[in-house]
Amino acid sequence: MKKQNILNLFLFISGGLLTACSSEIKVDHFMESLPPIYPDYTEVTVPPNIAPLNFTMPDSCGISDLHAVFNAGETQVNVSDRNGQLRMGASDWKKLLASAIGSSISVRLQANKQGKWVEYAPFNIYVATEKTDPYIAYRLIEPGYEIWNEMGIYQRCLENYTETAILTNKMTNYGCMNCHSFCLQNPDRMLFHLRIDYSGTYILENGQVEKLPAETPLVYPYWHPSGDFIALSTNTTKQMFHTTDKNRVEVMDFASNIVVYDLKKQQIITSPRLSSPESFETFPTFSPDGKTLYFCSSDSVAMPDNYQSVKYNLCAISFDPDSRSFGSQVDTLYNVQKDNGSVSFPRISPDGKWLMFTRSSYGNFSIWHKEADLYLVDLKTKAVHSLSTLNSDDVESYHSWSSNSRWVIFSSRRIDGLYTRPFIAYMDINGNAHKPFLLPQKATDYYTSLMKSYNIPEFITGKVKAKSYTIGRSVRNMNSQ
Amino acid sequence: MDKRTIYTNNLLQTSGWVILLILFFFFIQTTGAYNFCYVEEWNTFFYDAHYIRNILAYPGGLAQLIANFLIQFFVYPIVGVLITALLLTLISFFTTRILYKLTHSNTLLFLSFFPVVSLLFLHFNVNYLYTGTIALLLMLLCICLQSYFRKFRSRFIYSLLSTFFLFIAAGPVALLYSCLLFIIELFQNPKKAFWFVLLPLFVFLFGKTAMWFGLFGNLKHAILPDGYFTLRLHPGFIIYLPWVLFLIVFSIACIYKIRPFKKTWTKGLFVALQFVAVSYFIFAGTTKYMDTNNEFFKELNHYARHNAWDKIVNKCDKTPMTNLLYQNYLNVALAEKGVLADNLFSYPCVDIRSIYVTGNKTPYISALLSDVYFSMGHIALSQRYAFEANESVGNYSPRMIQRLVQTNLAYGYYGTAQKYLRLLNKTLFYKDWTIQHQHFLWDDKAIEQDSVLGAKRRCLFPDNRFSGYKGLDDDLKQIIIQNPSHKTTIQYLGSLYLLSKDMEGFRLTLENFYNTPALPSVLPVSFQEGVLVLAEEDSNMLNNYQIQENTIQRYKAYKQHTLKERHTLWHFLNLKTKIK
Repeated sequence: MKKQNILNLFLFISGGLLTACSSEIKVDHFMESLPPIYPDYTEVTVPPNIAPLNFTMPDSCGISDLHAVFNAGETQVNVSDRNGQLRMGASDWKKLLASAIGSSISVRLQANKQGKWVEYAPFNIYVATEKTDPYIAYRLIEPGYEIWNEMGIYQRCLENYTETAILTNKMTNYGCMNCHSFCLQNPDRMLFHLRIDYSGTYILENGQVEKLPAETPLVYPYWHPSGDFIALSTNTTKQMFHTTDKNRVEVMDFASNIVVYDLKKQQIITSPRLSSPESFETFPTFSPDGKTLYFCSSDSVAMPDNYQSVKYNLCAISFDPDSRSFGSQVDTLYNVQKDNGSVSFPRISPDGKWLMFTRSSYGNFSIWHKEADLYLVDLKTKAVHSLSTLNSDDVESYHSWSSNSRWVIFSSRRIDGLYTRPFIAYMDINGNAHKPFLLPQKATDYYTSLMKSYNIPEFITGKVKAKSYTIGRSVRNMNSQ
Repeated sequence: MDKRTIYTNNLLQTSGWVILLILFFFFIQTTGAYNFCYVEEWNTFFYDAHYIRNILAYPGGLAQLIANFLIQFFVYPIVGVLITALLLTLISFFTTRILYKLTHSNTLLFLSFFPVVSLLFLHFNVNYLYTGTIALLLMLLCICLQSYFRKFRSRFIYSLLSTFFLFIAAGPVALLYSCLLFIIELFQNPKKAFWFVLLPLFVFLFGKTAMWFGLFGNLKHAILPDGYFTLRLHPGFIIYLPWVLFLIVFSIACIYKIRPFKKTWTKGLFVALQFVAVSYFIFAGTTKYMDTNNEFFKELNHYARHNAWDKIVNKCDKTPMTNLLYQNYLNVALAEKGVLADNLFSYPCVDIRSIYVTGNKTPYISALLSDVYFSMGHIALSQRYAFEANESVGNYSPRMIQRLVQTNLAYGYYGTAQKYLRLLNKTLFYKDWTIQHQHFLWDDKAIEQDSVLGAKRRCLFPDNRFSGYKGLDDDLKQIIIQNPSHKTTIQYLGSLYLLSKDMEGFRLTLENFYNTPALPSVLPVSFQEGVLVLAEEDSNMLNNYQIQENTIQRYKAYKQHTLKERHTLWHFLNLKTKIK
């Protein structure tokens, strides 16, 4: 009898829950506009291996309840809000994604406003056929001025919400760390720099840490596809602060050159064409075949007085890895000075077809330039165009390609104007960018609470397995010897 | 014992603890009443899942969460004093109770106050984390509970589990706990005490494991009291003192249990000795560990936070102004009252550092500089220092976030201001302030009409440059040109020139701004004094500027007897003031 009562109670509760989840809402009014959801996931294109896109509606909408109906093929999932957030379970989301590969998920959003249900115009979430790399790596740091507190290089699984530290500065006596870089998105081959305590450039390869014996501080690394060389720049940098400009901070190079580090011979290679006193050279990037080194170059001028006249062109020089030599000629691929701009962060798609760069009105520290936008070069035709689908009124800056060349991740300050957030966008085979989406988080107000910026987001093909503790210990041991 | 005796004993004991609470309260209230509201400036509690999860993810998270929860109430200075007095009383109570259980005697009554008094001193160190106090309280509760386990096996299992619990909930204090349990066991049950050696070893292992998970970069932050201090700083011995004293006191108690004083007079003498020693410790510790300069700075800071400029001036009138930090706050107060240039030399001055101290990258000085630059109307520098101060303390300083809201609203960076407002909206005591400021978002007209934000926005001058690149004075000139009604700026500018003895810069300022809305015809007193100095070389100065007869007479008197008129520019130009 007792068992029967428990069973009845269980059936009653289960039935009630099922009814609550699947019941059709009687809509009082249909709206023609799309819902102003946050993050904006309307009409975005996502990979088939992305974590659920949780979203909410702004408080200003005055909504008490939310209900969403997701449809993809035969699959339908109903979701009601929890504390104002629409969160979908991982298994339901995976079913929807599986049903929508190469097609889309249609979303009908219904909202209870002052006791009446309204339904917004339905929107789509397009699901591409190509997956993205399962992990990204980035540095979390305050968008600050000259001091810092805690920071670290982290990795995030895109298929769920798990974030783990690769290395935090707790492990290195709270010094500064920056410019992580992976060889061909390989998580087992990584480079990072440390500043202040244990300063230097370090290579993490298959769990082993090695410090480069280079004496000069090196920045902006980019691996040669062979893994035998790393292009870097040597920058004498200063930071200054505007009084009134909308860009509050200016970071500028007083001098900069490019070098290539030969990992096998542990030697620095350079060329007068990459280290001319008449020009600032920075942001080196190897082509996927390893035969060309792209970089940015500007005439050197007296700094900081002429900081606004520093305009970086996109240049290229041939590189022969066998003889470790550079070509005799520098080609200017894109002369931005003609249209009064400046190039930074050239990044080439692994298939070698496209080069994406950031264009700002001057200088090279585009993260502090609200006018900074992303541009794309067709390396076959050398045609350049603005990626207006990806750009916003605020900063778009650092970007990197997925290993299959179909996805880019880029940093943008469009959410609040200061804290950089990672956006992911689909790039189709013709070089067309699709509407980007903000890196999904379990809690929709995650980015409001997070007081750090995502810096240098990079795709990686798997998880960096080395523990933060192990890396930190190796670094400390190496420097105590 | 009959019921009446028990009742009388209980009443006496309760009265004793209430008296102790009152003593703690009055001691803190008289020596450092503004310490705890200063603590609150750097940390408050956010009713936010992300914030709570982040704290709980670390060993000691629960203690930190409780500490932060309590700290939010410190926004009212007296509440901070009361809560701290209450916590110290509770720690004394539990320590005494444990010592009594160990010795079955009240002879060691005053011994229990040694660690508590050292803990009291620690609270006045701005880099001490309140978490440490909560952790000690949790530890004492765990020790109290342990005494209920009579059988060795159950006591050992409890000790093991509670050590783990303490490590997770309260952090490093687990090591002290494990050591204290070992000492107690050593004297109570020496044959099996070696099992309790395992407890500190386990804590060591927990610490190593936490490091392995990347939660700590240094073992001392995981298992030593250093974990209750701002992690990047080196605390010195003061942070270890309560722990060392707990170990000594417990050891004495255990020894006393074995060899107690049997004669009444020896007991009485021992109690008296303890009392004298505690009294001396309080006296000596107050001198050694409590810096009255710091406490006065915290008080001035509290008044500045609440725009209580008159209180700052009144307080400074009664205090020797030989400290640059005091001078900075006093000069902000004088500027905000519109009398900086009248009273600049009424108080001791050193040089321009009397107006703005040199930044040392600590949050405390950065916050002060943010106040100074905000008063000057230099929004860029005020924002910069507020950001750096907030960043240095882990981004949860409500006061600095408020300043970031103000400066971002002044700039019209509404997205950023909204982010900070959303964060403050998750607190208990800043909700009203948030609501008051939310209506400024994307409403330029409302900002321009607001007395504070409108005034600061009008200080943003169109001729952008790098802050301070052409000199702070040049930035201030631009602010005056742009917003002549912002009266503090011209006072600061003229004062900077006078304090740096740059009379040419001062002369040019007068030429540029005299008889303009920024600087009306009746000059402030110190500016008049400056004109008289300039007139020594250029008599036309007296025709160009209106100087009050009284000032002229004072100058004549000064020239006859230079020791007269000590509170003047003339005296300052001839003297060098000693500073701390």
